[in-house]
Amino acid sequence: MSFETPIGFIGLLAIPIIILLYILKQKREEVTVSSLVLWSRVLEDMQAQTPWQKLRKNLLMFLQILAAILIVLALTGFSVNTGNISNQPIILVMDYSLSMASTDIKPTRLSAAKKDAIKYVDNLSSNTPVTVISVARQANVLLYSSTSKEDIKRSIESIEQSSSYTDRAKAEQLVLSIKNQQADAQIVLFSDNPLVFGNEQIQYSEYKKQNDNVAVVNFTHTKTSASVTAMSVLRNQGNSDAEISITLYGDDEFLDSQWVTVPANGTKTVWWDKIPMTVKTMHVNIDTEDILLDDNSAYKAVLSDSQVKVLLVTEGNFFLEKVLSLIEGVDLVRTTHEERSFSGYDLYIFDGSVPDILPEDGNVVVFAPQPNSYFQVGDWMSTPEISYMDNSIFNFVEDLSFSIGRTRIIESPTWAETIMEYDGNPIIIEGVVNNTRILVFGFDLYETDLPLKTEFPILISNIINEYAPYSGTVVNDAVTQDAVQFRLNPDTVKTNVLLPDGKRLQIAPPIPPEPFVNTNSPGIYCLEQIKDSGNVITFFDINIPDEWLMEENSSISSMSDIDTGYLTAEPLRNLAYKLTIPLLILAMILLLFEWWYYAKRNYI
Amino acid sequence: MKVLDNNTLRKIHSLSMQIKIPISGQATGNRKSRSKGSSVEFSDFREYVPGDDFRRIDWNAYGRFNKLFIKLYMEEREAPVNIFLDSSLSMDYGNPNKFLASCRLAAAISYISLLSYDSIYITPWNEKVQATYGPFRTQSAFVQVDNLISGFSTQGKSNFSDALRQMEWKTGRGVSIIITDGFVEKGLEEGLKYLKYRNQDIFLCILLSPEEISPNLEGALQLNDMETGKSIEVTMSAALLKAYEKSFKQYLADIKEKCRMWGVHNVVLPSDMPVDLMVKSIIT
Repeated sequence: MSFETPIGFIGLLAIPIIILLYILKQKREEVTVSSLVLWSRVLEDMQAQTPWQKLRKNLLMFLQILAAILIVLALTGFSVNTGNISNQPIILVMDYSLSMASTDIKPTRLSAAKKDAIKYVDNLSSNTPVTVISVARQANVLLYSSTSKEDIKRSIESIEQSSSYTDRAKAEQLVLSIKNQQADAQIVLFSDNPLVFGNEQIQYSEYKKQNDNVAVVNFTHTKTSASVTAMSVLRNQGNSDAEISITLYGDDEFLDSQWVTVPANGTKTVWWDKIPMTVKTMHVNIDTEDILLDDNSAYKAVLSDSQVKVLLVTEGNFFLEKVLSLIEGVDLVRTTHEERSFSGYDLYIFDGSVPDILPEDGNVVVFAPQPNSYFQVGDWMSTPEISYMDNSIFNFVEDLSFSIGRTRIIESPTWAETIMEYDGNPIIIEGVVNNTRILVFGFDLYETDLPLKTEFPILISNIINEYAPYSGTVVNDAVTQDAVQFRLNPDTVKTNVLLPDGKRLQIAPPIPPEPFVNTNSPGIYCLEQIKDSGNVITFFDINIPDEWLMEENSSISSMSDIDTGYLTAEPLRNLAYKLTIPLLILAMILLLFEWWYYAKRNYI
Repeated sequence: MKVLDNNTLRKIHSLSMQIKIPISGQATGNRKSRSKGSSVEFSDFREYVPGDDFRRIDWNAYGRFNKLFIKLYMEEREAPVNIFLDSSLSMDYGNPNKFLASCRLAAAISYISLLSYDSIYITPWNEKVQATYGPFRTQSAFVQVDNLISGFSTQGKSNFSDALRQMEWKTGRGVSIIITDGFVEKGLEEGLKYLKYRNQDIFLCILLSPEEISPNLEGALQLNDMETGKSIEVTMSAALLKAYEKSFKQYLADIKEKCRMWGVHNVVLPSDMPVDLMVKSIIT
């Protein structure tokens, strides 16, 4: 039982007014008759015949009060609960992904869904245990099996709009695990897309009227010698072609604007050229309004053109020299083991030696180390087998297989972690000493076929990116709610991040900093590394993910994959039966009866 | 004339009262009396006794029987007609006005009675008898009667039996004509009994206005009794009017039943009835 518009109870004020009207003396017309003898006799007879005379006299008043109450109930949107009287547990799944911010349902899909969910909870019988799960990129249990309607409603209210996509796999895993604990639970989904939870039955309330939305799903750039060229990809999620205006800004200044037509359910690539080299940040914005504004912008930090200075300390390594010289943006300087003091480089590569004192302003990569004061170097080990290497330096080369003739057995120190080992003996280790990151390969490149592999340049490029990054971040193309790991320069004293809204957060010390997770807002972020030798400012961008693409990818089992025979994703029934119309009809019948009774009355 | 116009008088000229029982009165009239006396209608013989009027000795009988017989004749005497006119406030009601109608009826009855050489006594009453006017004996007295009746007015409540008991009776056996609407405190029964006790041949004329016979009322009303000043509040409805009609019929039926028991002639007259028809209704 619930009231949609309780303000309608103001109408109850009509009841005292009705009573007052009856209490007030009715103004009667005075008629003189010759005698009341007969009239008195008639009244006595009738009152004798009708013992409930007084009540009947007031029947009209009672009928009017009843009609007033019925009308007031109709005005209050009175509804009764017709469902879930069996206290069946409910798993209430709320989608709060980016698309739920669409305004095709006012004010937003999420607001409407939350309102309906609260109404749904109101209509549940009081002892129904409800589990509230919010799903977007993260799936969270907000409330587990609670019967307190206040708590349930509060947890629904607490759901805030996310600017990320729905990770269907995570949502499915979480909901199914809850469902396993409550086998008889009913899953109720409030979303704009039908999610699938195994073969479980779902009561699904859809919040999508239309999908006329154009989003910037990709924005990237490349530098040429004279200018910067950018590319933005637009996706039209609607069923009709969209003609839109899109504008490019550089460092928040207007650069260019284009009118483009994005085909229905398709993408359109927009190119921007002749962007000045001086531009540090760019963003594109779709000027034409659609139902979802958040995905109308994309941001890009233009990489600085400064070179990464790499010092190669070797007695001669053809492979390294060659590959480093091929990598764009690397300023390679070679020296021999006789060099003793190292400074002024972003990365130091030691081939066959380890310095007595580690450089302080750059990270270190070591091949075939000699015994040193930082870690133990043991005997040679012959023909170790290559095992799976889960590390960022092996990005894009997961299938790499190579052979090693022999390698040094490195005793992994406490500050390091092992990346690759054979038979319990570390072959590749990585760690941090005095803020300096060290990557150690136990083998000599000449005693392996690794340099002969096509993946070798990629591996070295990964090492450069990881240990001497162009920007402060490692994760390129980061999207909202990504955790961003910063690779700070070893001599950084303090590091701040400027959020797009101008807020400044200190993230270091400690060094290395924790992954940065305040990436809820899309935009240009600024990493500010404060060093004794001067501050280094780099920009990085956080963008809205391509929800359509991500949700497609994250879906373990799309609707089409499921044998629909097992699935009934039925629309959420309106469990509350709204009684407005029946109440008004009843009130009308009452008033008609009252009129009839008044006309046919047989009382005084 | 003030109460009756000449046209009406002509219509009722030929009507005469039909009175069932002999009456007693002082003056001779054309009504049969129990008194034996001088008249043309033979009644009986009896032997002569000294002191009898020897002019009445039937000499033919003496010739046959050799005894003196006296012829007895039914003496024709006047009938004392008492008209009891209800002049309480309740009579001043209706369209046509009941009291005016009752005055016209009283005048008409007086006129017919005077034509029949009856003596007329007119007694307006309400809570008590206001006065007894009469006797009026000759036709020429009708002018007096007419003047008298035209001066009557309504006032006070009605109490028939008390009024009769307090009245000073001037006549013996006779005819009593009661003109009333019947809306009388304590009812008519006691009064009728008393009149019977006074050896009256009673004609009860219940005179009602059309509004009383069939009320045309609607809405929420406060009914005020013009006689007692009391009031009741009613909301008129079809059912209520139906109940009134039923009650009205029952009321008349009760009166009729009582009249039958007491041998009282009775008639219900609407006030809009022409007075000659009223008179006809009474005597037929």
